[in-house]
Amino acid sequence: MAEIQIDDKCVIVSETDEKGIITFANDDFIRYSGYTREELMGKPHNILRHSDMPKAAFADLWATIKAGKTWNGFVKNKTKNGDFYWVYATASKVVAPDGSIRYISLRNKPTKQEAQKYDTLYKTMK
Amino acid sequence: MFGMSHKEKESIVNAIKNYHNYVIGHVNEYTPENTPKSTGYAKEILEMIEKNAGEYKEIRNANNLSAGQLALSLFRAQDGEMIPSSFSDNTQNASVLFSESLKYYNDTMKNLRKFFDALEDEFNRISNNTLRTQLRDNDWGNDLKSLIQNVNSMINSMIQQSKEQLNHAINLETDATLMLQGANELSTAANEQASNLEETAAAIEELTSNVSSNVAKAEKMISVTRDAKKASENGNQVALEGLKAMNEIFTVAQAINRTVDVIDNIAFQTNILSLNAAVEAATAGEAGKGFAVVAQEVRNLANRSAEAAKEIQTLAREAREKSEFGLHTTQNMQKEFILISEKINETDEIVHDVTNANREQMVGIMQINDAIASLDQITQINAKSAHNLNEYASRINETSHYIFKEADKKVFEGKQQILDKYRSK
Repeated sequence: MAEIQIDDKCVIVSETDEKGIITFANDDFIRYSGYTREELMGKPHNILRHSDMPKAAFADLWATIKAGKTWNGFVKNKTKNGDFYWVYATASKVVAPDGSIRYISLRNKPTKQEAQKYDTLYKTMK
Repeated sequence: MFGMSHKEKESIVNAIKNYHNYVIGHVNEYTPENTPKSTGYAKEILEMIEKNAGEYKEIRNANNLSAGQLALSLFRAQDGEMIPSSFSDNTQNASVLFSESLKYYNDTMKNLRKFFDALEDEFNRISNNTLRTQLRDNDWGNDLKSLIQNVNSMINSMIQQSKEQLNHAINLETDATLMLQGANELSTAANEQASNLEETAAAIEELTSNVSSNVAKAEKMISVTRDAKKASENGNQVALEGLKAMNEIFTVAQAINRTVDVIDNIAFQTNILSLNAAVEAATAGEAGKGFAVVAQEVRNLANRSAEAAKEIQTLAREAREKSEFGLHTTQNMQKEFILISEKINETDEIVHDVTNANREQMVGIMQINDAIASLDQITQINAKSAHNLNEYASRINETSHYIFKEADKKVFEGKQQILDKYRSK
């Protein structure tokens, strides 16, 4: 499956509820995921999870953000048709105006070296 | 520098390069240098750079999170959602620019929300037919102020329209009621007219038949008059003939008289002759005795002839007198016949006049009949139109009630005055 290079300048933004169900996705998110907005809304965020990603990475992610801290990390995402793309993610817990807990995630393009480094690292963790 | 080895210097330069790349965003994470044998200043500098990178990461995350929250809110605002951004403890280290921007954004959204809530309330009032300029433009600035002013001016013009609508609705209702009343009257009148016209038509028909029968009778009268005239002329002719006959009788009677005079004279002479014969017979004696008897008989016959002549004379005189009277009577009769003839002529003229008048009357009646037929047609059309008009008027009346009800639903200042103005009328 082919690697997709996301744009240098793009920022992928998404929001989920407390259970990881997608409540918002911006246009860049939709463009690179290959899904339509209707397909994404209400679906769990792990619809993008690539099988190459070690479980420990996500365990760390959820443990960090649930604890109210900001999580940073490199993530390999899977598109609808099975292609993949690398992102550098910044995720954090926020409180919506109605008082409900939400998680927001911002993603930008990592360098080639960073992607390669973590690709190798994650393979050792599997 | 500070008695450092070349390798240590290289490590410090690399660490600064990495730090630089991280801060300007060329890379996403700071990679620390491996300094296994590092001591003293070199170690201190490397640890300081790593600590700085860690602190910068905190700021970078906080800034990213702030920007992300703002971006997410803006994305949502793009779709028309007007809510403040979410809140996070992890943005405390963000630069003032970000935190201030978020604060302004949230205040803006709260303000806009308040503004739209007020506007929504206003429109809800309008939907519920309450027209009141309740929004104060002083509470808002610039574009929002101008929007409020526009909304208020819209409501004012709606109030104006509602006033006019109510006025029109009341007027319409009044007029529609009058129209319905008029249409009812018209309908009734048209029906009455139609039925009256029917009666008139029947009467005219009877009149036509009467006049027609008059014409026939007058014509019969002409023929009767003609017969009478003929009869009177015949009568006159007969009277003339009678007069002629009477004249002839008179003449004959006179002739008889003259003849009777002759006979009387002969009887007288015969009597004298018989006397002479008797004298002669007496003279003759016995021989004349028989002759004397004859003479006596002749004398008797002469006397009887004279008597008969006298009787005839009397009868002839009577006949003459009677014929004179008959003549006179016949003359009178002829005069009467002439008079009758004149009267019949007059009658004939009158009958002709009557017949002509009847014919003219007949023509007139025919015209009246035609006029009534077309009047009947028009009246029927009128009656139908009046009926339709009545129906339309009744519908308009209903519609006017509905329009008034609709206009009356609206609540606005000055409404009661309008209603009172019309109620007092």
